Amino acid sequence: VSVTTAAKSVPDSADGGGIALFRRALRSAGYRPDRMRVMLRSEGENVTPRPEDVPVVERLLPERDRLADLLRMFLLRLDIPAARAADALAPLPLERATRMRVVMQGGGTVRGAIRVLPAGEQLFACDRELESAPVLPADHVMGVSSSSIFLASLTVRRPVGDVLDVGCGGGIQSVLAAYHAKRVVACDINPRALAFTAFNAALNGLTNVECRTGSFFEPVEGEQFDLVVSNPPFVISPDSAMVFRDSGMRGDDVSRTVVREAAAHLRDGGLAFVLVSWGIREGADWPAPLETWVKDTGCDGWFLHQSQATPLGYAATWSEPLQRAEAGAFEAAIDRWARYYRELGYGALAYGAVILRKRKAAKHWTRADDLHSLREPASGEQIAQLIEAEDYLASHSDEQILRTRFTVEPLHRLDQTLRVRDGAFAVDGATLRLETGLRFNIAIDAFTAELLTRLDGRRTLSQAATDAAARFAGDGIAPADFAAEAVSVTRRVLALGFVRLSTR
Amino acid sequence: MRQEGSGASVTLDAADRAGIAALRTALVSAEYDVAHVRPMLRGEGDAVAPRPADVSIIVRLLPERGRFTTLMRLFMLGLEASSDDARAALAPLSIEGAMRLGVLRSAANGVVGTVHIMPTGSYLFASDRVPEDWRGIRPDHVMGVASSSNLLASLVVPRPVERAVDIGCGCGVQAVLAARYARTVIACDINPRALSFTAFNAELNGARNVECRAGSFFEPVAGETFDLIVSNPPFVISPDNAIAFRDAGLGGDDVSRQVVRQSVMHLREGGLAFVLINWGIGDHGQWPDRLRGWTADLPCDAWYLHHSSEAPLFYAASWNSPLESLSSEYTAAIDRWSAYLTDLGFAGVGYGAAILRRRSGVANWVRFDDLRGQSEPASGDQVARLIANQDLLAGLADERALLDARLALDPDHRLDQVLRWHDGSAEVEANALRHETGFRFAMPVDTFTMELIARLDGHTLREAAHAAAAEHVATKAVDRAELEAEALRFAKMSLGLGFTHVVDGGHR
Repeated sequence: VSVTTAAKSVPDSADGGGIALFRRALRSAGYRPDRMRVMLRSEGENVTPRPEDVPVVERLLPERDRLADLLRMFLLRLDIPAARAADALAPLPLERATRMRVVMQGGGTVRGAIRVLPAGEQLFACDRELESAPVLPADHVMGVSSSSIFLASLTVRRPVGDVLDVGCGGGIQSVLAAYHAKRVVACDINPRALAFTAFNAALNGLTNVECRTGSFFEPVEGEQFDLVVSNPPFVISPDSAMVFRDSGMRGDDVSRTVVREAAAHLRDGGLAFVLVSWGIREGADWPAPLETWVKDTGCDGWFLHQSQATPLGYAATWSEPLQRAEAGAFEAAIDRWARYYRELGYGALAYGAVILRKRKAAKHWTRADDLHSLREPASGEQIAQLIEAEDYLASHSDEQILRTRFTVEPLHRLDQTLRVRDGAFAVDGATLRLETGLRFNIAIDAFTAELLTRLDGRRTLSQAATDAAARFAGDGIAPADFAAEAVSVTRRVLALGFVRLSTR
Repeated sequence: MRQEGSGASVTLDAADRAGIAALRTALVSAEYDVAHVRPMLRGEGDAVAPRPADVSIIVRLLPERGRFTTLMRLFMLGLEASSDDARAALAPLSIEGAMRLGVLRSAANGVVGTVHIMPTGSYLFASDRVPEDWRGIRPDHVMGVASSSNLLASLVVPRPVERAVDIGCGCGVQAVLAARYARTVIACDINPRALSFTAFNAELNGARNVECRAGSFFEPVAGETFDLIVSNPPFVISPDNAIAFRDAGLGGDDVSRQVVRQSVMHLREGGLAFVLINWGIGDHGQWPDRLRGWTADLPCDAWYLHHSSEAPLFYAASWNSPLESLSSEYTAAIDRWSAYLTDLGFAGVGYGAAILRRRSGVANWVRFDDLRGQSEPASGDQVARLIANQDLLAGLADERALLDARLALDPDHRLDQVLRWHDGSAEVEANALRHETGFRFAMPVDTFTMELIARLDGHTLREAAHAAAAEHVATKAVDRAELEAEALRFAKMSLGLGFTHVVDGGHR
């Protein structure tokens, strides 16, 4: 990837009054995901249209409309006449916006100097250049991406003291954490990233985000936190040109290092959420490398596998912008990258997340979930509930579980397929599905279906198993087998969040 | 990596039977077939040709050497191969033979294919190579197999017929496929290059019963009638007139309407026509509105299928997407196209198919089905069964006759139930009968209907309804007339959607 080193401007985070006026301009025009989606006719999770769709979107925008003009400047990268820009930016005066380096003026027209993207109810400024550009400056600051949204959705949003965001980029995770933290420390090696983070904290009216320059955990040496979040430059590549993407470390060392360092900087009971990419050797299971990463860290570890690619597919995905560069650049890059993966012995490369929880214990649990084909985003509350479930399962014997009362969670559905057989509809297959957060699903059999209807919070699991077994009397199955099956089923559905411990 | 101009010099020798047979032997013996080619294309779903951007990835996924790799380079990826590799891959066809045939020519470092060859089912279809730059596309470009060809082919009822015609045959996909069922197939196209590809492909697939005729639409078959008509015409509604396979140069949706109407005129009594169409949808209008008038005055039953529709701007954008990289030409084209569609009064453009059957001297039926969101191929057998059911329903003098008929449940079905927990038990929230192949129609059913369906076998509809009511507490109180009305509603809907068919009775 070719890189330009031109020092670019960053928006001025010192003009707090100006930023407040900018926020008022955006808010009062309806610069919010729902309104933007309607105006841009966007489908899927991404509000931003693909660059090639901009001419179409442009034609759908109303003419005299402040939101439309703000979208032209800060999302679609289109120039507008100065008079209209002044109207759209009110109450922020155009001249002040120019001084703040939020817009640029020239020849009677105005263009956005930054892009402004929504994530939830918050707004985030980032560099004007698109990540899909064939050439990007080394110190480019990325906007809200699907990976940052995924990380944000995993994070448990409960009140905490100190939060650390490592490799904060434009500060998305820092800003979102600042709402439920006393204090957030945002770290990045790229000073431009910290300038955007400071700007974005102010843009969202937050004053508890502290920015520190330095590589990874360097700026917080010896400090400990209640929550660590990190969307590091996890791409496994032989390159080191783009700070936001390539760490320059070998193989998947960057992900491993951030995971282990995050563990070291956690207080007891603290949680860490780290996006990772890792290599899988031919014939190996995907969690194998991650197990070694969290070993001896004093943490429970939860591994989420989002997707994986072949070496060539991984290389092609990250080199895609080069298809718009000079001839042969793309081919040269994928050959170089694929050769690198061969040297490392990777048969596949995966994407996902590692969740850590620091805990003083003789033995820690690990858990691995393949999210392949599950719909995101996750929900932090769900993550918290399932961590509690893992704690419970790790600390209770089968006998204890049999004596416990469970309740079926209401937020799920059972999908059944039936076919006519011998003159009656018979169930041919049944699947339980969660309807919020990570949409876990599990195929269930007739006994499980009977058992679940009896987990009413009044009966113990043992009683429910006996009652359910009555439906299968005459099948010649021993009561002890039903009990063992009931425990095994309950462990699985509890871990996936289909049932919970009864509070009665 | 550069591809040559789009087949400017390609002339195929369809008369060289031995050469074509040798080419086929080479392709088949190197496993140049769907099972081996399709997984290499990296495309989603029914992608039918590699995107130019994927060529450099596909070539890296191929084994370094070997006959399959060489044939993929020559006929799928548009890349050169050394003469030695080509000689080995094409055997028993010689390089000179391949050049005489017109599928190969010399290049800087060896040879390069002049055509694109796509395996489809057990068939192979040659067409012009996919151009890298659509601006340079020849007006007489011959397109390869597209998702629309697969859609049309999947609709055709597979039954033996005497005479078939393919109007606007392009590279001859429909003509060659129809040759399975028809004694004779006439393939017509205004583009002589298309006919040359059709003749070549007929031979390549061993179809000796395809006759090619040059001319516009139905001109070459004036005064002739057929048992089967298939047509994937240049249906795009556009202000342009540049590309034969896309733009017909007629106004609005006249191409589709005229091919539909002409098809009826060229059908024998009982014959079927399958035509892919685009049509305009007016402001605040329903998609069938304009279609109603197309065949109302003709002696035919008509069945219109709606696959998707797009607003003018998006329609303009998708048909001009090859111009995306040229922003000023692209924006000019989408402005010109959307203005044209808006002037026609179209708030949307529908895409789908018309199925027509000539039937004179009776009250004809017309049927509309919305297949939006269905991406699976249709099934010609299902189409035939639905036509039979439609005939039966349209022919009922008194629908109560169905009560004395015996219905049978089609084996291709499943019942999807969604249950939700309420107070400790799972309650049924939704219940729908669905097909698992062909059109994926869904039909909501209730518990009484489930009991009824389970009792269809061996009973008349009336008997099944009463037996079901006896088992079904909530229905016991219902009076006889209401029960039978409910059973009739079920029968009409399930016959119409093809979940049931009549075993005997109910015709009068």
